Amino acid sequence: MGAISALPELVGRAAEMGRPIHFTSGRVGMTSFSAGTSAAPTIAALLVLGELSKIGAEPGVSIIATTGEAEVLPVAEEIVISAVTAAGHPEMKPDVRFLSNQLRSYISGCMGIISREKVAGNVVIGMIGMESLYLLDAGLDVGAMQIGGSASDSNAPWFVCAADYFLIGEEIIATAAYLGGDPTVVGSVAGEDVVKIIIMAIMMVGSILVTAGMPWLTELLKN
Amino acid sequence: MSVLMSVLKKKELPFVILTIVGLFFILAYYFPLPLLASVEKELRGWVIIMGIFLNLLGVVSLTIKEYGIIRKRLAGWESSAWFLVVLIITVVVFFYAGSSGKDPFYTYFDTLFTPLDTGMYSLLTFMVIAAFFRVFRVRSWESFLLVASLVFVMLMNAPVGEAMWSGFPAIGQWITTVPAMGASRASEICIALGGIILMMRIILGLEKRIM
Repeated sequence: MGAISALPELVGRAAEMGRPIHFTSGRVGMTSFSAGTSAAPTIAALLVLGELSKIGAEPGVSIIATTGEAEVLPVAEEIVISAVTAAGHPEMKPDVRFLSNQLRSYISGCMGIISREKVAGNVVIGMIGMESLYLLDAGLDVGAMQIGGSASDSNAPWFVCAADYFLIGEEIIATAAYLGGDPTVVGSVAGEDVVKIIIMAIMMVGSILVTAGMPWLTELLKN
Repeated sequence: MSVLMSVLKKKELPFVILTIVGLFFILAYYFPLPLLASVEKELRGWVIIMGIFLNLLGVVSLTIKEYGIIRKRLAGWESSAWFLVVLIITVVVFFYAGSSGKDPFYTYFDTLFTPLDTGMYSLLTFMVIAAFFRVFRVRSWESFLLVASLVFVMLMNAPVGEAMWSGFPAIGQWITTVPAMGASRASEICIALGGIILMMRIILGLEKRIM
């Protein structure tokens, strides 16, 4: 995944230009667990924020993190503090800003920051909805290098078109795992791939059996 | 007391609680025994309460942060002051209104918030068209595929498409129901799996960066 190797490049670019990086995890909080999809991308995005802060701490790159959920604010601040402390720069203060949980206000707030601060990089990762188009457009406007990804597949096209490096769906969670570099965590992603292969095999066998008029596997899994 | 505080401050304690509760929920899901079900019901009530406290924590953190900006007269302190004023007014109006009826909270909401939100929406709606053309450029092979698909799907929905060529609706329909649907389902399955793995990592204490 290009986005993983692009983060140091993004930080380097920001350091050279002397401009900040904008990061947003979207408007989804950490208490929404519908179908196991909503909170997970936000948590993964916050882990990416931590790694980005760690990489950016050494050259002293300012990272402006925005959120549309007040409950994410203290968690994001703590993650940034832990990351910069681990990088040996406890003096760096987190710049996490709550904008609004109202879509329009959140979009305007993010666009305002991107535009006013003339950010060198724009990282938009999480359960990002229709706001992705606006945020990426604002990033293009100031010539920012853009890394983005949404767990919402209907909004993935915007990232493919406008971001320099994009992540689709579950790649967000995998990126968060890879960036930490912990072998156990990376191993869990490899294990997930094995599960995916097994699921695909079951789906293919199930499809063939149903087509052949033997729906016993489908019935078994339904129960 | 100091011993208790040192235990509470350690990261291990939250991880232990998280692991026990997380594994309990998994156990209760796969073994629907009456005892487990009743404890699970009780714990779900706790989750709602903790969720509310998490929101409260967010608001308190935000208030402290904005107050700090005002006190130090940092850049944009006026916005922070305005934020606190609006926050206080909203809370006061809400508590004053109580559960006695619609007014005055809904009047405040309908006459102030809704028009502002609608105004913002209309501004952004105009902007979306320009943003669409700026963002949706063919910058790579993937974006070419997207734009090509977009043309067919757009002409499928627009009556002029069928008037131009009867093949547009058929191709557009095929794109929507076959490759787009397949990719969407695959993406949903993968993100659900990824979410489960991430949550398992947190429950088992392997993902320490979040605490």
